[in-house]
Amino acid sequence: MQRHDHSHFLIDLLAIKLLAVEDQVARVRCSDFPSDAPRKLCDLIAQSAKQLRLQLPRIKTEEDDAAKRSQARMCLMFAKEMLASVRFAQRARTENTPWSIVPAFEAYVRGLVHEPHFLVLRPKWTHTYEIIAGFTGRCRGVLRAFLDDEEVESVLKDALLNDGHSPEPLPEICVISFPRLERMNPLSHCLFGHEIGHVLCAPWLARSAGIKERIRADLALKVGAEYHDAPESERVEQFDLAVAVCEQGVSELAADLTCALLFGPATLFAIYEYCALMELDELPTAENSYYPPWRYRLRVIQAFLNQGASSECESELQARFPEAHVAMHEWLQVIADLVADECDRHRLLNPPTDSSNTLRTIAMVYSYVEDHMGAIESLVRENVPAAYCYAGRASAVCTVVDRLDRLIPPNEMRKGDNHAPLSIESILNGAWIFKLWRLNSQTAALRFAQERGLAVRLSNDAAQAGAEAHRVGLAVLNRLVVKAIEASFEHHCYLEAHR
Amino acid sequence: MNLVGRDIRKAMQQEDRDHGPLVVTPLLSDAQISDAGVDVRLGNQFIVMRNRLFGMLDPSIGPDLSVQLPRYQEFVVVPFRSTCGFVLHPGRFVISSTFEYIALPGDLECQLEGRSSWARLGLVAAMATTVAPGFQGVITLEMTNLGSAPIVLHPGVRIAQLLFHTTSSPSEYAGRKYKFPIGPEFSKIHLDNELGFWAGQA
Repeated sequence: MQRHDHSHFLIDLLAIKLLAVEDQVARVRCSDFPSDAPRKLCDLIAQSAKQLRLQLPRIKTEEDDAAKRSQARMCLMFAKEMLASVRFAQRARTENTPWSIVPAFEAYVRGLVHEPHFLVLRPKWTHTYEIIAGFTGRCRGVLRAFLDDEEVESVLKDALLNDGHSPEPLPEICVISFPRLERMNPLSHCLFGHEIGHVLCAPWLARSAGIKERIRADLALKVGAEYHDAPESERVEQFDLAVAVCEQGVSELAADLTCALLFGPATLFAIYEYCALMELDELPTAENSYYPPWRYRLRVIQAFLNQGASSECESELQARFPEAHVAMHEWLQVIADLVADECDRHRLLNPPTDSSNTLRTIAMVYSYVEDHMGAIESLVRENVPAAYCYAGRASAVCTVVDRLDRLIPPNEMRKGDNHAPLSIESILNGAWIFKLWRLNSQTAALRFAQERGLAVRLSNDAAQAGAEAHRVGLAVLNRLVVKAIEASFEHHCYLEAHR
Repeated sequence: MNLVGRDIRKAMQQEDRDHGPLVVTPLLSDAQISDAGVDVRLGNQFIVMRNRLFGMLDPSIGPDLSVQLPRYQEFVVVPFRSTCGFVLHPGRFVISSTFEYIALPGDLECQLEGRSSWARLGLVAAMATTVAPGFQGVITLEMTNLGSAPIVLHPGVRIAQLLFHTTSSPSEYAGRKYKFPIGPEFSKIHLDNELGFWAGQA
């Protein structure tokens, strides 16, 4: 009897916790957001918490004590997880985000992903880009333990749809995190393409054509051969390691290739800038979540981009902005030189003879990945719906460079007597070329500032003046690009509505 | 000399004009160019004052003001095409900007005029109306509701009109305080050199 009362008491406490979740979410929901997505996340969490709270009286009457405790525990775990997820919405408030470009990126992702998605962009203090998806799925999973399928879908629809329109399947919510320091650096946000790559690649890596099963079967054979005289427990351990390294490696490389397909050469420049000062040759370990070495990733991206390279864009850029063309190729050469040194690959594929089994397994996995790189590239090309044709955008890219050089946002280009909005991809690629040309050093930035009359307090000390010109030049570039992405998106929406 | 519609179009299209082309971007609709000038749209950023945090604004306190300003002002963003706009109550003042980015050549100046349709509701859309030759950026709008009813401002609506004039001779933009803005910027009056003198601090 006493134990029964005790569990009732705990369930009553749980009801208070779930009510607190709803209350916290309601407060966050009142904030200003650049799009509807964070509010949808709030609604999803609040609705789910409310439904679980409404189920608690039924759980109380459960006669099987173990079942009662299990259900209550599930509610508690869910409440904790959901409350932790509220921070994604809280940090997606307007003041924390590059708010003016959020709607454009959200529309861009919706255009790529077959299934409807809400995209929440939020900063992180740690200097990483990251994606977390599957919120709708997790809520659905928990709610199904208490409600029938129809009721669950009704709850989710109430949370995620507000116009009676019911797309199938229901929208998923993705949270893409970006480094807070890069908030107003849209050129760095090319790396959203990598995170979008995870969204696009996840379904076919998980399901289609049994790729995951095939990888596991292949690795099982390889581990069996490599460790045929090892104890069973060791073979199991190495197999698990091989699967983890392989899945993470393939996933990251596929996301990199997706980014390259979506954003073209801008991807290479953005990833290079992001990783150049990091340890380039760090082997995949549990500590770094089995990420492939940066140098390896740059090499894969560069080779992939070279396959689709064309001289069309190059020649127009060379004719109109010869210095920009030279500067871009100097940077491409820097990256080419970097990846020509295959020390990372050597470390990956050729572990010392007396090395640990871990290194042997990683070498085996990357040998397998390299054998199948062509297949990974083909899968990315088949599954990513929109490839950015850098070569076919010569005029657009040159327009961007030209307008930035005149300190005008590169949001549109002339088509006959009218102006057409430029795509995000062209804006970012042109902006990168401009940056590599005009702002690739303090000397170049000072020259640019002097030529264009940027508001720079020119110190008598040349080094100080250069540093200041560099800082101001980059800040102005970022502002113009942010304005361009916003203006081109609104222009596009206006034209669509008034067609 | 005032520029009429065809002169404005010509100034925009001639990339090889002596003092550079006139840029108003993006022009969402050709109908924004009329015989008198170019209609410009309301941007989606607003600066409102947090009156509860200060007793008065004294620009003569100099650089200290620039440190304190972020505390005194609040940036509000209203997404384009959202159902709830920015509500400007009677007697209240708000700073916003045009959606369009303007690049004036060295031989053109322009003036910003509120549209009559808004003025009839009590809205004063702009107070500092002259834009100097060579200026580049969005144009700040200093808006007040002089009417007796709140006015809802939706970003993107045509809010004001630019009137262009040629200057007697070309000049370079000498402004130092406001360069290449992409949204409203708060006053930098404290950077005026002679302010201290007139405030008895010299």
